[in-house]
Amino acid sequence: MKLLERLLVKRVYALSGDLAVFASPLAVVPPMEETTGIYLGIDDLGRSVFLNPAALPNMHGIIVGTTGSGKSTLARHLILEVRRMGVSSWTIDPHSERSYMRLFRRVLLLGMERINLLEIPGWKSSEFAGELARYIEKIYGIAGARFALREILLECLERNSLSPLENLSEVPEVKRIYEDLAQLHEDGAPTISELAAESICFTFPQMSSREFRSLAALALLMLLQGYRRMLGEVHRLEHMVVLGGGSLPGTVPSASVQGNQEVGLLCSCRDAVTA
Amino acid sequence: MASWRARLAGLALLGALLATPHNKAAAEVLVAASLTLLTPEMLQLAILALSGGWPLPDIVCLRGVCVEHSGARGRRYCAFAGFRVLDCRHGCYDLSEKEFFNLSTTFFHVGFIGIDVDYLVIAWNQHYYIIVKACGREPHELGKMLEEHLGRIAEALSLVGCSWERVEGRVLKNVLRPPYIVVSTAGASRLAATGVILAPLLLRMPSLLPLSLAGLAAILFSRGRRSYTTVRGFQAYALTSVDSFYSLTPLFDVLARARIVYSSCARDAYLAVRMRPAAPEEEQAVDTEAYRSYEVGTALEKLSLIHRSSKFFAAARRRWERREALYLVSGLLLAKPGQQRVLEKVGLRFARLPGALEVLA
Repeated sequence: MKLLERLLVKRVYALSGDLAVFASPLAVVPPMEETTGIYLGIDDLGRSVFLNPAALPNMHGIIVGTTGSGKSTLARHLILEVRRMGVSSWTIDPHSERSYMRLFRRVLLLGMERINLLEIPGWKSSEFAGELARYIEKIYGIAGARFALREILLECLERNSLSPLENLSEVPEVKRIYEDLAQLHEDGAPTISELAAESICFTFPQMSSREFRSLAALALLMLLQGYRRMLGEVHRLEHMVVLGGGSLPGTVPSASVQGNQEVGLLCSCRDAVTA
Repeated sequence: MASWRARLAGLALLGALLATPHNKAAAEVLVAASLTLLTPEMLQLAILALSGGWPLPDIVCLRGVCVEHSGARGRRYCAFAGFRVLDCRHGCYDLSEKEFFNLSTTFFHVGFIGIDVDYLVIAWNQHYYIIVKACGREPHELGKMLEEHLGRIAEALSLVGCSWERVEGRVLKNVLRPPYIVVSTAGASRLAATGVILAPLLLRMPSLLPLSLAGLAAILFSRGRRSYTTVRGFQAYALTSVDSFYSLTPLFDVLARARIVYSSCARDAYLAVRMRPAAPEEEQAVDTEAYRSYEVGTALEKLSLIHRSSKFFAAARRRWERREALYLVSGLLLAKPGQQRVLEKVGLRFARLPGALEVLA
């Protein structure tokens, strides 16, 4: 019987280099795919594709692509998917796209509507003032003013009012900063703890300046970072932030949310440079 | 290299020559046996005609192992167990040619060294299975053998950065009897085939005796087995040659061909490769063939033999210079004709042979 089997099976010679081409796992097995997490769709082979935030080294991501390639569509899909998982989300959209606004019950038109910037849970006043001063210096391009700004902002935080800035508003640079912060802040406006509990689309008036948009986006991210830090860090997606292209200057957004593993930060950028 | 079949056929012919003056009938049988040995395709066709498909033994699967149900009691068992590779840190899509070659050959050199077992590598829908088939008389020894060889494969997988899981019995059965093959239902034609095959024997027609011999062997082989045919749209191809064996291919060519296979395996082709490491004398035979064909070719000024020797020299150089190990391989491809042609371009020659499914036995 064994002789018959040997007669019937045609065996050919192959060296291990020949087998590497068709019988090695490295030539057959595709890269690891997630099977749980946020459902993204199906690939060209009909397999489901997932994004598992828990498996990422950190929860920051960037969507890049040419115009019309579907960056915003993917971002909107992610918002809906995480909502299905019970995760709240923010969109900070400088272009005021209706497609984003339609997804949210609450839309905050920053500049017309305000938030409470001076209530900063999870931050020391000096730390917050220093960070914000650093970003303001870069956003408004006033090199060397960081330390003076830090002191003024610290005073604002201690007095819980923007009056120290207002008092210095004869200086043109300070005046610009004051006007932008005054458009953003109001006593009695919703605090970060109220905002973080909701899914909100933050948009801007058509005529708002690029600096104002950047300042508002960074201030919101800083407030959220402090608030989440105060709640305690967990490696779990609890809140997702989608930053529309152009909401950030060429500086640092990721620095402002580093260490906040529970906040998924997603940039949907018009081009890779803004990232 | 003269195969064992050719040698046996030669001996049978010699026996026939010697037997002719004394016993004509025995000589006829020996000639028939020699012809049958020289043309295994005839035996394969006889099996196909008698069974209506290719007979494969039934397998019974337990939790993590499948056992061939041979029908013969208390004699010899064959068991299958294996792994499914879940993912690898790297693959042909991101490795450099040197890294790919080194990692892949390391995998084979470390994992596939058992000469007492058969290894079945199955690539199907981008899933990769490694199955060890061990045969023996004692079930306990079989279990030990399987664990030992699976342990080596696990070690090799770790070395190349792949994770794996043990294949469950029901999955194993599905892999060894994929949905592309179904049990044959042809019945009436079998009876007719049996009649045709046995007629020369009954009518004492010596010239057609090989047909009867093949038929008898086919009946013996098919006993207690279920016959399988491929489903519509798919063809069963047997691996007939690995062309790259005869050339000293550069590493970038190995990687390029692996990438083609990688993209073709994404589709629903089923590729099963059964392999075992060559014995030392078989390894030696490659060198011997190179020298011998060169000597004979130059002596007789036969260009074909000189060319053959250069092919075997290339294989011998790879064995000595690149330290590549030699394997004896049989393969089955269940695919659509287009996919077979793609694999042919990367040096894997497949042909539609009746016995292609025997790889899964």
